[in-house]
Amino acid sequence: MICLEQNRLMLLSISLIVFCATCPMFGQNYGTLRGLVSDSTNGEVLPYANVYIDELNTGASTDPNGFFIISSISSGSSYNVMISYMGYNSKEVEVFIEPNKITHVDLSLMPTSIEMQAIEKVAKKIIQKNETDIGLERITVKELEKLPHSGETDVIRAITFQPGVKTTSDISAKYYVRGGASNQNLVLFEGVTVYNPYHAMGLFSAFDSDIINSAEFHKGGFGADLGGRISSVLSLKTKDGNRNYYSATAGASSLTGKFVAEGPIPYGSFIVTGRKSYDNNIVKSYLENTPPISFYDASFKVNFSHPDFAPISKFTVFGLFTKDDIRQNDPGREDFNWANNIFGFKWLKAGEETPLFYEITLSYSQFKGELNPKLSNTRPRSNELSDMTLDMLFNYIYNSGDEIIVGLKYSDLRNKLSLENDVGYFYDKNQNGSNIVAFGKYKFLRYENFGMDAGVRVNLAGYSDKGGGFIEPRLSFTYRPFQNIALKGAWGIYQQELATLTNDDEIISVFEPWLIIPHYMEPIRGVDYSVGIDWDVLSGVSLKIGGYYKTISNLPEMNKNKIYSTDPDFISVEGESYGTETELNISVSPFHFRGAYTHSYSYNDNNGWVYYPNYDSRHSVNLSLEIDIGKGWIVGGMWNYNSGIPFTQTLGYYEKLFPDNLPDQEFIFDSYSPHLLLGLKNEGRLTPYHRLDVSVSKKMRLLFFDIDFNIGVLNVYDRKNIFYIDRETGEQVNSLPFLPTASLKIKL
Amino acid sequence: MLTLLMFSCEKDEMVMNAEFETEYSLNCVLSGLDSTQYVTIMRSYETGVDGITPAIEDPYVKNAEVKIRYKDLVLFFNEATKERNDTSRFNTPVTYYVLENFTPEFGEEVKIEAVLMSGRRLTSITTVPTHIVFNLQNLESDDPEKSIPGNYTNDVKITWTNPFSGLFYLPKINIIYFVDDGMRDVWHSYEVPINYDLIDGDYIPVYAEPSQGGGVTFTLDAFRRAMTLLSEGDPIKTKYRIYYMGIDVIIYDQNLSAYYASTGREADEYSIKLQELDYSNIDNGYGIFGSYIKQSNGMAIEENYIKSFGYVPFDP
Repeated sequence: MICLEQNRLMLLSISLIVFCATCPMFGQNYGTLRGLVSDSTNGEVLPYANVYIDELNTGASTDPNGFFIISSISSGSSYNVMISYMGYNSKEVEVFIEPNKITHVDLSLMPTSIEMQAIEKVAKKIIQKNETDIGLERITVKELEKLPHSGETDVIRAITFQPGVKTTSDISAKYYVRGGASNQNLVLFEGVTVYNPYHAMGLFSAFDSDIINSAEFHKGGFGADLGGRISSVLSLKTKDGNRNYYSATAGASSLTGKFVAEGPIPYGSFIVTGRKSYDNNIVKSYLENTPPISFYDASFKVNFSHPDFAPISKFTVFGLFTKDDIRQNDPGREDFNWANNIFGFKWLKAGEETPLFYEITLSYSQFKGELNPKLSNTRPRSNELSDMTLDMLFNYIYNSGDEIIVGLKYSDLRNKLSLENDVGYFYDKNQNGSNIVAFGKYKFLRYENFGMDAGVRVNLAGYSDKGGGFIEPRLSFTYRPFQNIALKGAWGIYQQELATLTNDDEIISVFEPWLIIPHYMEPIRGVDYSVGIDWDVLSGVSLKIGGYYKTISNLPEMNKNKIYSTDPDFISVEGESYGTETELNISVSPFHFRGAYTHSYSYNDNNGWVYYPNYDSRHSVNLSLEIDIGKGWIVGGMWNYNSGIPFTQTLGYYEKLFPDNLPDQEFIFDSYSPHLLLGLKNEGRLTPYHRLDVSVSKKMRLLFFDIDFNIGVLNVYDRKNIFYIDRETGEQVNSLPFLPTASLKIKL
Repeated sequence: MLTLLMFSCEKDEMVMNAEFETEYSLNCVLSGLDSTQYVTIMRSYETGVDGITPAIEDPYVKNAEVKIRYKDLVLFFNEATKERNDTSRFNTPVTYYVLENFTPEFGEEVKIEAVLMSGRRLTSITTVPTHIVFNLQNLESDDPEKSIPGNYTNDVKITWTNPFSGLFYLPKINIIYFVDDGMRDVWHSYEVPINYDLIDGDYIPVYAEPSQGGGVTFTLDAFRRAMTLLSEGDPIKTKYRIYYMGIDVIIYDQNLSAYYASTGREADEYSIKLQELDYSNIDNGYGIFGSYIKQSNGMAIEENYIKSFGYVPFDP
């Protein structure tokens, strides 16, 4: 019965889109302006650029593909269209709007050495009046480069500075969003799931910043087009490569060496990046017990766009390959390796005469990880997960400004997991599953001061036994009672059918294997509520205040006491989290200040026994200040504060028996050692974490080279932030010490 | 400013230890080989003055009533004391509870209950392991696949099967032989390691560890080296009469298997754990109540092989 209903829904959605695509779309004397905004020097599309028609007091932002659409424009007239983008000279062009047609313009902006932050903010205020974007943070490559970093610009490190996002140490980039576990965060590379987005046990993300063009980070309340995880979505869009000329960039930091090659091809462009760690040196600043770890990542993208073959469309082939290795010469010490292999094909098309965009992606994502114990007494572990996905998305924009988005996603997942648990049980299983999801959402954007996004995500079939047939409704809205104040809210139900075998007693894991939720458990499900107020206080000053409440059911936790094969691998716990987030931005050239404060609570409930998860932190503050002092010099600083995260206190000791030398029974008299007896889980708190980082960067042109260098200091006042405490010795192991960093990038 | 004021109220110090409460542990590993069984009961204790290392105080609990239920029987343990072999940490006598004339049978369930003076009751259950089936014939075999060295060229693998998965086994390989002391043949055994590691010019024997694998593999080289070493220093080889290769397998019950697995292994070298798994099957306390049995078999050693060392095959 459910299936019949779902089929009807699908049929209805498809009929609707066909109807929309074929029916006359323009009212009398109206036209639509559509365009693509790009960088004039290299042809790279510019996401989130602002396009504004002054005469009509209306505008739009470009999407991650660089497109924008402004509909319902009185036709037969010319308009001055202003395009602005941070770090580029604004541009004004005159465009004649033809009646009952889509007028397409390709617009390009020239980069400037003086970043036009103030203009960008003014445009943003006007354009995003009814955007249903609660919980969404957009980060462009320009913004990414400005953030203080540990010698490597890192997109995942960057999002951890957002309010509501937490990490548990400097050592791992593993992040937790609004009280959700780390495996509840979806990371997409060009729309393709990356199952292990980290290098070097979480020190860095697996993404070289030179391939990234933009990032969209949804902290919650995301729409029906996104799913599969219940906490957050990080969607990375990559660069297309220079369409105008060939160029090569070489870079070096204290951690890695890398290169980028890009250039035009007939009717398109390409980009290739590669990054390799310096052998065995990367972690020395972070961990005393430095493993012989090395990693590399490589990515490519080739795109093709022929105006005769397929007008206003782009074909893209892309890939990402990452590999980490820990190899020991000693046969008594274990080896590790883990890798991601991603390959995809995408077709992006805009309707010639209809305001319809569609995107079809066929992709393959593989994660492989292995722990080879060799002759050590380590427990073996291996995991190989393959995900083949076909993803179709159609976005139709009505003359009223409303949008309808429908799509279908088919994923075939094969997972092979082999490991031995803490009590010696061997787990060796092949899991296969297919997830078919149909989604549709309607973006009600016809009123300037009100926008709503209502959608539903229907799991026609699930990876897990109990995942099919589940419906995930989503709703978000923005209401602007005054020009400078927006009230926002979102509600949604989310489902996740994959989980990592995470041991929450581990603060560093080499890699975490994936598992499809087993047949005896319901998939993880979350209900998310969020509300917020955006207030543009003054020109260049904005304030965001928001709150969220989230419940999570069927949260899998490793069954550490599994002994028998019939014992479940997971036990199910419930989760609850809530909090408030406040963000203040002040942009008064040449200063940009950003302050964020989060006050949050997270709980897990295991059959009535309530405890704080490891990442629960009460107060969190991020303050950053950038000063553009001219001539390419930028000085920046960032201060982070987090209340102490939970840990389990020591209760005392007891004498633990070690029954050696069986069958001799003498062991019962004297084979004992003191063993730690722990208090209630996570009842204690570490000391607060705080750290100040500063950096100075300079961009310049020397002969034929563009040179970009950055020097900085992490943990300026050498705060002894606790990473962990060795209970047996009492030794306090600290996070990052005072650490100077430097990076240099030279582009030909 | 309000926020900063609030943070200034947050403590920049950490309380490492929770308020102490006394817990109890019970340890009893029933032997399927012996007729005497032992129990110890201990209380937990606080950290020392440094707040990190254990305090030093005698943890043994006296005056408890300890009993087991076995089939239709209820059997009581008696309290006893014993001087310590190791007085480096405690110098008081060990207090233990002993039950004489009791050997649990294979496959039987045994329940234990200890009632402390405080009224605290510690309970648990074990099921004594059942027999395994060796995948080899007995020592009378002439099958070259079932004798040493037979057709083996490098590794010798002995396997067994058990309907219960997940159990741990501790195999021991012994050369069973007699030495003529001039009056009679005296029985001896020499334990064969599974391998020898060459470390700094010395051959260090490596013995099998308890593991879940249903078998044990040792190298012919290790066997040959053991055959040589059993008479090391004695120029008269002919007084050594080699009988057979004995295989003893100690079979742990589920509780003891899980207990061993949780204490004997590490996650990996680089994962950092905040706490280790502490397996216990004692209700209302800590410790272990388990059982084990031993099962034996043997393989013939070829006569020519025995003679190649200068020894004499034993003829029973």
